[in-house]
Amino acid sequence: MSFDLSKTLKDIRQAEATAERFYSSLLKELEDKKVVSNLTHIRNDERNHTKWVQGTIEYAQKKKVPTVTTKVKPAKGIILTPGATNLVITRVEKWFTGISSILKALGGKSIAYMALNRPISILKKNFEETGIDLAKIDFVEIGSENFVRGHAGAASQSLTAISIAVSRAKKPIVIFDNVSVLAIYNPPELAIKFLRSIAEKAAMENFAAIFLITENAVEKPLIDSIKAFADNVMQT
Amino acid sequence: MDKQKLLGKLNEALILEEVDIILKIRSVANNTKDRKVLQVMNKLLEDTAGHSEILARLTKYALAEDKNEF
Repeated sequence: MSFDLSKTLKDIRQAEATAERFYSSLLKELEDKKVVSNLTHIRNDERNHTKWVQGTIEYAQKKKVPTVTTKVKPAKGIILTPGATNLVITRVEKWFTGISSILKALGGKSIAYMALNRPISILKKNFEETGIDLAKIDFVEIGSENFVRGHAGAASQSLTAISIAVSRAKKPIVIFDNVSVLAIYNPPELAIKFLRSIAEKAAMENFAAIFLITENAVEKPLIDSIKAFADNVMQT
Repeated sequence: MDKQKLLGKLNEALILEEVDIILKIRSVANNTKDRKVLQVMNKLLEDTAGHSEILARLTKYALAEDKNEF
C-alpha cells in the first residue's frame, strides 16, 4: 500500500485543529492559574501548527513532493534470556520508531504487549503500516484512563490489574509500553516497587521483560531506579 | 472543574498528543526526504513532545494539590 502524503498531512491538520478546539473548550472551565497558563500555551501552539501544516499541504501539492519510505531497522542488543529485564529509553517523538525497531528485532517470537497508555487499535494499524508481523503478538490494553477513573486509589489498583495480566499472558517476552505512565499517576516509590516486582516475576516465571520508557524530567527518577536492577539498558 | 474531571481531560489530551498527533507526524517524517517538509515535521514533533511533558507535569500537579476545584 503506497503512502498518501497529502491525505496524512490533511489528517495532521485535522488533529491539530481538533486539539486546539479541545484546549479552548477545556480552558473555559478552568480557573487554576498554573493549569490555565500551561494549557493556553499548548492551545496557541496547536493554532500555529494548524497554519504550518496548511502551508505544508499547499507546498507539497505545488511541488509534488515524492514519498520515500525510510525502513525501520531492527534494534540490537536486547537480552531475551528468561528472567532478563531490559530497559529501553526513548524520547516521546522517537517512541514509535523505537518500539517498531524492537518488534522487528523480535520478529516471529511470541510476545505479550502490555499497552499501558495507547489504544491497541491505533497501535496495530501503525505497526502493520511499518511492516511488522502481528501474528504472534498478544496485545493487552490497560488504558491510562483507568489510572484516574473514579477515585484516588484507581492508580494503585491498576498496578494489581497489570500484574495479574502479566501472569495470565504466559509468553516468553513481555513488553511494557510504556512505563512512563506509571510515574505520572503513582508516587515514584510505588511505581519503582511495582516494576521491581515485575522484574522478580520475570525471574520466577521465566520470561524476558522489556520496559519502554520515554525520557523527560518527570520520568528521570524512575529511569535511574530501573537502571539499578535492569540487566540491560538501551537507548533508541 | 473538579479534580477527577481535570485528570480525565489531561489523560485524554495526552493520548491526543502522543497518539493522534505524534504518530501521524512520524508517519510523514518516515515517508519523505523533502527538506522543507521534514523541517516542519521535526518542529511539530519537538513541540508536541513538549506538550506531552507539560501534560504529565500538570497531572502530577493536580494529583499532589490538596484541593478539589481547579
